[in-house]
Amino acid sequence: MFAIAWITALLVSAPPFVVSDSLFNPTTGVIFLSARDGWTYMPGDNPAYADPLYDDSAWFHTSPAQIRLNDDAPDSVKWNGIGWFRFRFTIDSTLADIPLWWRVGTWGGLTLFIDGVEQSSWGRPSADPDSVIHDHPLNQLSRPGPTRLEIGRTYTMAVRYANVQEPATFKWMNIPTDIDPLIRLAKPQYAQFILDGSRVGLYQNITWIAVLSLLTLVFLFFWMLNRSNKLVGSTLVFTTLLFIAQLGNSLGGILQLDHVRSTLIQLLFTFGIGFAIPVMIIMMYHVVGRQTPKIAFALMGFYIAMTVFQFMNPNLGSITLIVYIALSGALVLRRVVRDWALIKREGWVILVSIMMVVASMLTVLLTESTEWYQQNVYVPFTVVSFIYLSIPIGMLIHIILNYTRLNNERNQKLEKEVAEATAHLKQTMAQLVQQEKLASLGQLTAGIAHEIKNPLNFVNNFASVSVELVSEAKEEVERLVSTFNIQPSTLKETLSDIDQNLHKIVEHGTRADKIVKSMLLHSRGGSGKMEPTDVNALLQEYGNLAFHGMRAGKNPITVDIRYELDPKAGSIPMVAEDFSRVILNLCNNAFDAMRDVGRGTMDDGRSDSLNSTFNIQPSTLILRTKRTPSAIVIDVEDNGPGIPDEIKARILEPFFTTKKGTEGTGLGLSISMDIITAHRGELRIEDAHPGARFVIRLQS
Amino acid sequence: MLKFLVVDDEVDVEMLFRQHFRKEIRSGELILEFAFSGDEALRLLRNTTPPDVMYIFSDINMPGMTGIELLAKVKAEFPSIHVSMISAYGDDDNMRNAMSTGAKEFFTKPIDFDKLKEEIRLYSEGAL
Repeated sequence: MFAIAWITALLVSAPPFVVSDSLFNPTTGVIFLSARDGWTYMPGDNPAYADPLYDDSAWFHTSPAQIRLNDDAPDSVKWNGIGWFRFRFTIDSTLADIPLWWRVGTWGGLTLFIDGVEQSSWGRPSADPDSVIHDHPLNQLSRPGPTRLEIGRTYTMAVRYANVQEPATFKWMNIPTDIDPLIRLAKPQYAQFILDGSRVGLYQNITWIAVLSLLTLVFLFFWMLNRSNKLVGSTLVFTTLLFIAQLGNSLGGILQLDHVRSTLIQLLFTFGIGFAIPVMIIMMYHVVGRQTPKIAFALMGFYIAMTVFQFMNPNLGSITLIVYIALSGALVLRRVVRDWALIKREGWVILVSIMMVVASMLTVLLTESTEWYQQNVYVPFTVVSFIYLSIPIGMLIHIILNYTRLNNERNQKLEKEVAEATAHLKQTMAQLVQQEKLASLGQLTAGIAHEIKNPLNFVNNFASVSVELVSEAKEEVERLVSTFNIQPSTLKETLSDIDQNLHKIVEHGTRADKIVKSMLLHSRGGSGKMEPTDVNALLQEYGNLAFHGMRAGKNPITVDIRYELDPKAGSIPMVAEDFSRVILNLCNNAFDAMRDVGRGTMDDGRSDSLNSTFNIQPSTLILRTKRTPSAIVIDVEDNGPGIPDEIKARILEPFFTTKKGTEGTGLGLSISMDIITAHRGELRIEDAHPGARFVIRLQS
Repeated sequence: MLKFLVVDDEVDVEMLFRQHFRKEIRSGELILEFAFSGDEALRLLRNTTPPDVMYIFSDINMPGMTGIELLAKVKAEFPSIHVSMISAYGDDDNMRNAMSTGAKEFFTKPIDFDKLKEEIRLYSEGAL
């Protein structure tokens, strides 16, 4: 009875599927069995289904590829969480001596039996939904290795398959609703490719995660060192996004996740890459120091919308991403064309990096379905490495170039500054020495002046008392003459002469005293008392003093000194001793300036005739006062060469001098400025065409 | 009769003063004493009790005791005696220093004897 049933079964069932070498894909060396005719399917679970002698004639004639997760699918293809597939096959002689591997591709749990013997298992199928372990369709080869199949023998393959994912989730996520256990037979070349790919993939994932985390840390460090550097900031953002993307990619591959979780994690990849792309535009704008354009953000918004749309419509492929990347690349190039001058220095490194990333991304998207990309495990690794590393490495080169350039510029600037400072210091030192000499000379003058005063006291006073004594003696003589009627021939004349001489002594002693007094006045710097002073008188007195001082000095010149005094100028409270120094300084500067022109340097009158011959204006110093309602204005104007603008800016600095060697202390104008400021006045320097005009304005 | 003391380290001062005030000395209305240092001046003042000197004219820059120190000591010991300073250093500091220590007047060198005589005239009118 049993034997009859068995024979009947053999007779009723179709002949086994013949697996021949010609059916294998010649390139990949694999044959897909899932979609072939001859499959039977039974929902539910029973260990007896593995038995090759089990009668499956009542089963549905449904291949694994036909099963649907839809709730409303007919019973023949409906999926209930667990079920069995059976398939009978034989191999012909073309496959003699070729070890064959089982290869599945499923998100479920699957156990493969050949003639009732368990061959390999992926995940764990179980009738209890809670006990099912889902596997991942990546690299699912039979373990531990290939099977040796006898030529001509009929094998019965039984597949126990469980997949308990919610159809609703699939619908929502728009994952295709077929469960596709994808049973394949593979030649060693294919298995080798899968094993290599698996190993390389692992290496790649580890390498990329390590490299990207390291780069993220490096740029985080750079950014913390200099938070204002937007270029480093955007590189940090870019690297972080790539790290997130790769984390999604790696976790999706390494971890044994079910379909839904794996898809969610892969979303990290989509958005990481998607958001990293506009960052490249932002970077290019930072390179040229411009604000990020709104269009970059608009592009990002467009990408998010398109990604969601594409998620719902997976058949669109990667066209959105291609458009997105191409548009971003175009935006970058537009900025490059407009700001080429700024990019030339070292921004081109960033440009090259961005273009390498764009090119690599487009390469992946345009070639990822080709055999060239898929069959050569090192191609994806190389291209993706370009995507990941171009910008961080470019940025490092940029930082180095930028640092080197700035450092060189800074060094050159420093060297120049040091040279200038040294020259200035030397000049200042020389002037300070001179200044110190002048100061001690001042003290010496004061000391001498005081010591001279004492003997002068005796000279003057003895002389003046002697005048009295002589006049008394004269009276005495007169009395004697009238009393005794004597005529002393020369005594009276002698006394007159002595009287005259004594008057001369008094006169010159008084003069010496005045000289000593004025010496003291200049060495001491005045009493600092503000007293109403006649401005016109002061100007005239010190203008003349400066003129005579110059004429008596080393290098006299012929100068007309002209006073244009406003009679209404009147008096103003000032420290006359201090203010007189200002007048002296300005006059002396004017003389020095006019001396430089070379006019009238000859003091023998020839210059005047020369000047009139060539109609050259003679050197003239004009001292002018003017009363305004609120102020008294004093001009000191010369017709010398004038003051060049670059000197005008520095002329009031202490120790600035145009005079050679130790001729000038460089303090004259600076002290004058201080004195004028102390009088609540202001000093302005104007061009007089020709010459210079120093205008002092004193508030009255 | 007025008795004045002149303090100065220059000995020629005595001759100068005696000649300038010869008439007043001759008529006996003025007696001039001279000291050539601060110490000598103090010794001279302490010789008689109370001292008969009414007015001291003192130089400031002297070896040993300066005129200002002498001024301070005289003012402390004999507050009724007037002291005026005569100095070549007529600057503000010196003058302020002398006046704040109690000097009556400050004369600068070279001495203007007309001013000095005027001061003595004013003093004698007040004193008599």
